[in-house]
Amino acid sequence: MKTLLSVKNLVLHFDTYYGTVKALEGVSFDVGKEEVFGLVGETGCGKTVTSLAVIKLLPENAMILDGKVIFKGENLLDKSEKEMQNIRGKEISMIFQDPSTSLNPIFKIKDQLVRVILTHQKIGKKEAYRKGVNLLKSVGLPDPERLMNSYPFELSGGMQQRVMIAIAISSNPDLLIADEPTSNLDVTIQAQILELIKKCREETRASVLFITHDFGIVTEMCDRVGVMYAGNMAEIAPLRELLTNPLHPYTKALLPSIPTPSKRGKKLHVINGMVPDLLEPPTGCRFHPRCPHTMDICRTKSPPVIKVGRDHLVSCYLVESGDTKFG
Amino acid sequence: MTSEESSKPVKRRRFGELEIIAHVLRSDLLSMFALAIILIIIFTAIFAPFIAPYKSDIWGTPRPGYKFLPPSLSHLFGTDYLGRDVFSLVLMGARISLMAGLVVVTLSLLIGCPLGVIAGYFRGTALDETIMRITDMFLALPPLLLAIAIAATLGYSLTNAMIAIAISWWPWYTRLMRAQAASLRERPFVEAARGLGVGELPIVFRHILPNSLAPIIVQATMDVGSAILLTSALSFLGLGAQPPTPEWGLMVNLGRTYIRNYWWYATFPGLAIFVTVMAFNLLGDGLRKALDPRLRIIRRLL
Amino acid sequence: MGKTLVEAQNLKKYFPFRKWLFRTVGYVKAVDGVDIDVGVKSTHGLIGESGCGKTTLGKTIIRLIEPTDGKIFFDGAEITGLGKKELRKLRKHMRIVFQDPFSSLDPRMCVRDQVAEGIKAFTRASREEIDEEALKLLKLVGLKEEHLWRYPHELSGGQNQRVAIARAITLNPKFLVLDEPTSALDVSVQAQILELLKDLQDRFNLSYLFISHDLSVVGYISDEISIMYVGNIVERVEAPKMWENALHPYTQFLLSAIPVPELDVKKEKRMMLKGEVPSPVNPPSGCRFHPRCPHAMDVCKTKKPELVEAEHKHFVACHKAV
Repeated sequence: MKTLLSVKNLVLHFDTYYGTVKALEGVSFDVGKEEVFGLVGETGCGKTVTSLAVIKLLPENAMILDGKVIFKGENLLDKSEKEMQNIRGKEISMIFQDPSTSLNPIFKIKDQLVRVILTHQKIGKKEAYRKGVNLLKSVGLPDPERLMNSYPFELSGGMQQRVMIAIAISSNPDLLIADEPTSNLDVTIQAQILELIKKCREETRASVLFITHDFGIVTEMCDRVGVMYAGNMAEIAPLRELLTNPLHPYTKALLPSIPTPSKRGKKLHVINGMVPDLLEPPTGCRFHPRCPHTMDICRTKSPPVIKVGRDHLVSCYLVESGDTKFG
Repeated sequence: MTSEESSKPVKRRRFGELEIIAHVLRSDLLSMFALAIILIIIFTAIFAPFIAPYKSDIWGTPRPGYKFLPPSLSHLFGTDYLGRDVFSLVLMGARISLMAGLVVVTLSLLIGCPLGVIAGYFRGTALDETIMRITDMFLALPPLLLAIAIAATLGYSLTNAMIAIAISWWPWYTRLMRAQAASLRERPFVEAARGLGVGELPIVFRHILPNSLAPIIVQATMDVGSAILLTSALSFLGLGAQPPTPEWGLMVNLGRTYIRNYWWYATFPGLAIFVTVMAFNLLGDGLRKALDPRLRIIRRLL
Repeated sequence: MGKTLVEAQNLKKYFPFRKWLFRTVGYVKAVDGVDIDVGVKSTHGLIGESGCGKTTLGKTIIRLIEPTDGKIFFDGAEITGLGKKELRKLRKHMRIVFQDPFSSLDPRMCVRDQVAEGIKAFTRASREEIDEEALKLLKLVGLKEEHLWRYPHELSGGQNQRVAIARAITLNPKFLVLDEPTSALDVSVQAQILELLKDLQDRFNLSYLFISHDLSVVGYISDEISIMYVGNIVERVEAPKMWENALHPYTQFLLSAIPVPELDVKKEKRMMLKGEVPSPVNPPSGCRFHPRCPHAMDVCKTKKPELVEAEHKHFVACHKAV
């Protein structure tokens, strides 16, 4: 598998009024060519922040203290804002969670779509317009001509998100970052959008970095998955491997805590405690206060990344000590 | 089903809210600076008769022979046309102006807020409409003209000037309060209270009122400054305090004619007005930052 | 399922839709003729997408919003026509928990006072008695003594929701409307809250109307499930049966649309529903689902199907299914 994006040891802190938020503490993962990589985790795990770091759209108070973001052989963190503007929208595109706030409400769709096309492609206005109409058609929007002349608020949430996707794929990016693209949408619309993303990916052969908190979506969309917890990458594995053989205690506890109809009448697995405050995160392994198998070393030193089998990475001392079967 | 991590034991905090506000305010240097100035002004206002170097001057006793002395060590701000020490007068003026500002704002709040809460909570009803139409009528009255009218009927005095301003000001608080109450009424926690079976009156006092206070406090703080300015302006125009009251605006007016030769008489009271009003504005600004929005935004960022 | 505790018959809630300042141009038919009931010590799940009226139904059934038409029964007695005073007394027995814990708590009240409100509304307890009761309730929902004096913005979403639940169970109500109680929470916190709700139901014989758009959660916690579409209940079935034999096309579509975190789930090519959810102001004629239904027949366009019992304890409103 050839690698398109390689994030190595990313350390990111935020300087806030209340202190320093240690948002990412050494996050590493790879996204291969034509692969859908899922970034999964709960609130505060740092998945959104990671994607913003890749595309360099972090707020002013963000401080990248270490790490590299290698895209097509070059470190994006070294690039200037101007260079990044050439990459954003063209080589790496992002689909955000809330389409109603991502589209400018005072401009018509055609203005926003055509502008993006013109920014990255050297074609005339008329041709850009035509391309825009075709894009809207390809994302399944009916009556694209009329839509071009509409304002965002005239569209439903699902349609807005389709427009967002159209804008994102307009210049055939190599990497598509989708940050919880369906969280604000109804179930039926969510299904449509997920199918659309699958279709776009097949047609454009782009890689997708799919960020979500929903394991159902992960199961449906992703080839490989990275589970994040409190600013660390707990585990990375191919989808099937992760679901059948999770190794990190967090993943092992998380999967059985998801309610499904088949678990009726039985108790859900409950993880005690709650996500740590990133202003003063726990020492050592950030999961240790909630882990049923904490050892002394977990409290002091952050565990290294261990490779298990062919393609399974875990950040946990339990695996290192050879003890992969517990509880 | 156990609970989450706990850090340090916390005992009963009756005023936890104020602690948080104070904490945020403390870190805002400009607000602290403004607060310091205001505290000095308050101190001056209370103790003016005791700390003024020339106490008898305050009460208007003329001292011929000391007329229009320029600022010196014995008379920091010089003397006026009666030979009185301007510094002492300015100190006393603090008491008058501060009192005027507080009285005006308090009166406006007392009239405006209850009306606003009632109108807002019962938004859409005939009660609301009635209150708002009355409010609109009073809003149309310009403070200046009203002051003239009242002065013409009841006579020129500081008290009447304050009444005039309060009458033209309370509608602003009603409007502000009404907007707050009306929007709060729709908030989930008010609905939740209703769902719990809490009566209408307790809801208004326990939920609507405390949550509406934030913008009112900010507005009122800045308004104290504006009220001081306005009373000074009215006195400047001759409609408020009358000589020999050591009111700042009045002194500026009286000093106006002498500005060329004896500049200190108008300048120092004018500076006092400026500093006072600015301090209240800065504090109001700081309070606005310390209350609500900032706390919530920061919390969410975490 | 035992005795019925809460029952709504032909419940309707229309919101007037004013285009010009005073002229009512139409109605948002949020709830348009709903029959639903919740048994003692049971959980009735209500599923639907946004705009279907489920939240309105939840609030109307406890008369937090006044119904436009229909009847509501609580513990055998009709409560539709009760005056303000009697209605307020009833609030002790039926409570509601909202979706967003942050906004359903007064940001300026500490936790102890929030819980105290539920107690003070109906009793004249002393300050110490209230402190004691509040502490007892907090411990019941899994919080600690120090949380009594915290403010909502100092607590996490999960903790706040626990506070909202503690407040809702003051003075031992019998019926709780839970409006998407876990939708705003993380997966692991959701598990905690769901287990808490189950535990409380066991201990205090509570009845729940559990409203959600999340099929998996509702499927896990409910005894029976009603599916709502644009103001109407289209299917009602015992929970396990829904996955075995959904009858209404909309239900079938929902089941196929939801991604499940289980591998090798036999998914025939997913059913794609065309179109968007219709607006409740001008719903389609006849069966409201007909414009999007792959099995629509002529009768579906004209005649609105009734909710009938297709098999034992399985009701559906569909011309084709019956």
